[in-house]
Amino acid sequence: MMSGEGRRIRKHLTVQGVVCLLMAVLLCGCGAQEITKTVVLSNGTKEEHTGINIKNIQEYTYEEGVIDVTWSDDAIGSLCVVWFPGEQGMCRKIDVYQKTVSEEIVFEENVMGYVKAAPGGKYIVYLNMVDDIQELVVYEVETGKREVYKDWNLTSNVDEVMWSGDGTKMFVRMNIVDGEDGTEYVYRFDMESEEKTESQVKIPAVSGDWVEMFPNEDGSKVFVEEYFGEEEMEKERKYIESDEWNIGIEGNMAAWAGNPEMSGTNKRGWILDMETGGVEELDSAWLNIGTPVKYTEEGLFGTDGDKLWIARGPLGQTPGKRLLEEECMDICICEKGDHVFLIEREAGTNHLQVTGILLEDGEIQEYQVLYKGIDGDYEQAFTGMDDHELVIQSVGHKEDEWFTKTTVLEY
Amino acid sequence: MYRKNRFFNSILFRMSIWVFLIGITSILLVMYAVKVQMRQNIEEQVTEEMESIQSNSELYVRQILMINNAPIDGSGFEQYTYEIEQQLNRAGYSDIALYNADGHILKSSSDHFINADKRDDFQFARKRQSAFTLHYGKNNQCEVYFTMPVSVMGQQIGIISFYQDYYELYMREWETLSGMLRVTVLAFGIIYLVIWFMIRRMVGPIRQLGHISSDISEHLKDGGFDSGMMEKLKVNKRKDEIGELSRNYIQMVQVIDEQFEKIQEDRDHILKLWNSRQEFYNNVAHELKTPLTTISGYAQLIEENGLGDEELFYNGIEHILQESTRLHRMVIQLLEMQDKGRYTRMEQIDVAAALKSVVDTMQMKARRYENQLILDEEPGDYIIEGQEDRVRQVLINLIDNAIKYGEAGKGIWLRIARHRGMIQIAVANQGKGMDEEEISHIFEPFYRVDKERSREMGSSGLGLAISKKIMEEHHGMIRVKSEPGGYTIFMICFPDTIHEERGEK
Repeated sequence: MMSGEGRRIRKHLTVQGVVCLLMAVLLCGCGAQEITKTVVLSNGTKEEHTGINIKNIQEYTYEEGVIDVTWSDDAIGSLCVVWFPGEQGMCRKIDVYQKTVSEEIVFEENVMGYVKAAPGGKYIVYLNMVDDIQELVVYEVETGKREVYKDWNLTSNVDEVMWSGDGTKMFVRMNIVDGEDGTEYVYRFDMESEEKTESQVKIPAVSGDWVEMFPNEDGSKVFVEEYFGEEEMEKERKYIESDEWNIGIEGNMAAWAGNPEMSGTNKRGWILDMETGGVEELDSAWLNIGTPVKYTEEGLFGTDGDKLWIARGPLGQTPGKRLLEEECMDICICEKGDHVFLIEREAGTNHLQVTGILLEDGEIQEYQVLYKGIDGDYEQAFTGMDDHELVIQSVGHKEDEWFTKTTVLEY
Repeated sequence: MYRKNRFFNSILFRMSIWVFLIGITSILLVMYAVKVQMRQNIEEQVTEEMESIQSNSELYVRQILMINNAPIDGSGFEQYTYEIEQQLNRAGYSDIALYNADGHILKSSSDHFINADKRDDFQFARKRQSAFTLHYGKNNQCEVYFTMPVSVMGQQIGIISFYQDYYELYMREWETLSGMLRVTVLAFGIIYLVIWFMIRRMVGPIRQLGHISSDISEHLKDGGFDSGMMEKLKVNKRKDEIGELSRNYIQMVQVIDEQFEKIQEDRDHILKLWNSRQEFYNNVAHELKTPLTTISGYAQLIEENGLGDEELFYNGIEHILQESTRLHRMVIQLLEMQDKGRYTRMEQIDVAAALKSVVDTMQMKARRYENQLILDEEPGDYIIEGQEDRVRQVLINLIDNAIKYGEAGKGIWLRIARHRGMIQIAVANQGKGMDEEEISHIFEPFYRVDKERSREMGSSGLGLAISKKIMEEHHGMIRVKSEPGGYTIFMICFPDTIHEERGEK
């Protein structure tokens, strides 16, 4: 039988032993030693994407300074590139698959500006000037026919020229000066009709200085937004109080003007129905989409810093919803509004990266990187008419030569 | 026997060692945890980066094959290895090796991929699983081999291996975590010092108590100790347990000191009592022996001479009778002195009347000694609870002594008065007086100031001892004040209980 002293000594030694053993183990663990470990990555990233699927990628590089680029909807799919070698306006069709120039034409000897190629590449609109009269000329690429659609003297001004998403309607926003202030009008020209019919809608804007228009795909409607300051707001109040503007929304506007929350907001919008000439007032602040970028079937898209918003139709009934928050250089949205492409800088490099987002009923279905490693500075991006191509135009510099690079992602 | 504590057995040393050991163990634990955490962080970061490399690489391969209109299969992969390598280099992956789907090398940009088939990550890639091998070498070496199967549109077309050196990441992580470790060590150092000082502060008073108790125990065997040593204990003002302990210790030492003194006093008292007892027996023996010697001497003479010498016969008989009477009285007095409780029944007596009666009786004797008793009575009734004959005996003893030892013609002054709730009777005479030493023994049995004279006067030496005993029985007291050659005043005091009770009523 062990004595009390013996048990005490044994206990003491046991505690000391445990402490020493622990220290030895820890010293071994803390010491330098070689360790090799193999980690198997999960196959989560291997899953096939169900979103935008890239089927082909093509690149084409040319040295000319490009004015405008569009994607033709012909059978092979080709680039329509507009540029000015000297005073001439030239158009070139390029087969990006074969890397060949299929067609090159001179469409004007004396181009003043506003050169815009219609989606599909059938028409090119540009500004010309003859004897102090400015002319808005449309050149039909297939036939070589040149036609003046609008002319005006120097007292008026063309503020914006755009094409509808299907490339069949041309929109011109003009400020017609009558009296002291000008009046904003949106004109629409239908290229497909025999008569090249013109319809016009007066915008009930106050100043006309900060107005933007966004035609939809088929050109039947245009979203217009005006930004204005305090002075213009005062004018707006006077305008509301007058009988001149009486389309039944005075009460709403008066309420809007008197609302302290809204009084700091200095923008408003309208939906112009180009078929009927109707004007629908929208509370842009209530829409809450930031700055509008695209008007599509899915709804009106807008950005606010790094946030992308969507206000789904019918506009004016539901406020905007934040889709995502992502820092990017530009956003390209297809005409139908179900494909969204973020053009951003690849992390840690000077290359561009394209991220594709598939939307369904205004909800993100898939979010994936589609392309990485585009050299150069970003210029613009647009989708093809048939919503199967994303065309990215960038400018690079190599061996003391500037070049323009077009990257086509077929999806 | 007090044993001095060795430093290695001290609480301060032991606790310091334990705190140090716990601290070192904690630091090692923290260091181990830091290393584990660091490796885990590195592994997480590497895993994240390898997943990024995997998705990027597949994207790059697909892009290159598509841009070059190459077939999306193994042949296209083998055909465009250069472009793929260039693209991956542009993307920042410099050390790479390309293999076909069977694992045969197509292109390698560095010699890190020799014996690649021996690595686990390569074997996993051949089984269509991406894997990386993380190798921590000595000298902070940290390198990663990552091998992935390249799948485009669900088809495996090749294998790519990457080599990445993560020395900088390792060092960055290590610097971050070693900073934490340094802070931990510093914190431990500070905590250790604080704990050490706290332990020292806690143990210091205990050690001080130990030293003091050691001194006390060392001096205890010499028959005493210096309680002033307690003043060295400067922690008794603390309000914590140490202060309480020291206060209790001081209190205990003070109690011991008092007990010690009491024991010494008791010892002296016992010694004194023993001496008194011895003297008492000596006195008793002596006092009995003297009359017995006289009786025996005269009896012997009468026996020898018979009736032949009639004068001697009658003179001897007278002496025998006288001495036997004195002997008898002495024995009676001794019995009275020792008989406690015999006179316990108390009754109300007028002590003033008793005093007057005794004075009247004793006046004759005073005149015989050419002296006079002078009674001074303060008006009032002096009733006490007591035994009249016993009180009278006290008064007789005191007046008898005053007559015997008072100087002739000077008068004996007696006064009865009430003072401070007591009935006082003073008996004063002028004579030889007594010094303090004599006064301190005067109430002891058989003590005589002037032994020869006392015996001549027929004193037994028991009168004052009996008087003191009687006064104690009456809950009173007897005091004496005297100076050599001056007045001697005896004062007896009785409690004035009857008068107080009446006054209350």
